[in-house]
Amino acid sequence: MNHAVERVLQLGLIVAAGLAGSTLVLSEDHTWSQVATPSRRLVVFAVVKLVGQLVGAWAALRCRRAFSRKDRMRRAWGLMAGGFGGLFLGQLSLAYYQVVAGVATPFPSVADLFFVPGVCAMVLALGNFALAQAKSGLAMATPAQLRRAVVAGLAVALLLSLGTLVPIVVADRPWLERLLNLVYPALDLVMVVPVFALLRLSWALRGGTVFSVWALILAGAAALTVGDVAYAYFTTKGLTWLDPVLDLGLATGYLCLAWGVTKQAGVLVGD
Amino acid sequence: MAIGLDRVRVLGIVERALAPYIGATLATASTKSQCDRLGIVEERISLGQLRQLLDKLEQAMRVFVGPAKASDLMDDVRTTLGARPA
Repeated sequence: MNHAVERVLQLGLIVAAGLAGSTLVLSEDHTWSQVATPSRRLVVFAVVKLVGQLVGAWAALRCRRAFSRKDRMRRAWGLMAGGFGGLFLGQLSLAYYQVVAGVATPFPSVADLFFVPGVCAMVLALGNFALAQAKSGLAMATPAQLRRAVVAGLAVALLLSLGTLVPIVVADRPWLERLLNLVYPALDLVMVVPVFALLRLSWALRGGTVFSVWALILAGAAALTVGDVAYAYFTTKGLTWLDPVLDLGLATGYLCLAWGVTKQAGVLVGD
Repeated sequence: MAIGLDRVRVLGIVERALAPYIGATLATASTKSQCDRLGIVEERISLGQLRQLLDKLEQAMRVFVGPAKASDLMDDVRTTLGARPA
């Protein structure tokens, strides 16, 4: 079962990368433009993202069930399931505009009511994972190494903030749009801190089956961060020709996260 | 006459059980670190110390492989080393 689900996620990655790459390379090609119209591309990317989010929520719930009530890991997996759920509902709301109504996606929209708590839950989940790993009792990193990783995460988040958030703040856009354009990358930048801590901790796991779980989860979180920050930045700058790359970043994020969580469910509860 | 189990042999068995999941380097480092915390420094390890060590490692492994698999994993080690609770 897990193997089949992982195949689906890998296929999603291939489709998303192929579509984004072809669109960039063949943007001047008349035939390609007629086949891969913007609306069709939206549908493909929406389906790929929804699959990643749904699989992620399902797999995270399976992981959650493996732990007892008072266990921090149960809370963390529950938060991740909730995060995926919120992102799925947000994406589904966007898909209504893009696929069913066939209109340009409004921003802000009802989707943001799901996306914001979804991303918050993801950030909290990663924070809980980092704490649980740090306190596990395995010799994963010394307190000094962990402190350095957190400081590095803060420094990267700060540098990215200066480069991306300032143009959004000063952009000539409605206040709610500006606020949400700030909230998403800001949450993603907060996510950088537990990601760096987990990166340092999980590096110690290399050589074991659990390493691939965390490598995929962290790759997914990194892709989501880059995708979200770039999306907010380029949207503000009006650079819409980069949309396929931004969609690829977000799709890669969801699919890698879901792949890692599916692998973890395999370790925890088997097929 | 020394009493207890040979520490090197015991730790080798424990590390080999953990390594497929968390990698050989971390398995060795974690086993050593738990031994240090529990004061297991002699060449021989008593049954009581071994049980304590396995309990600690089981707790640690729960985070990564879940309570059920961590329990199965360490029960196998307990059986191999004759350290199951009476």
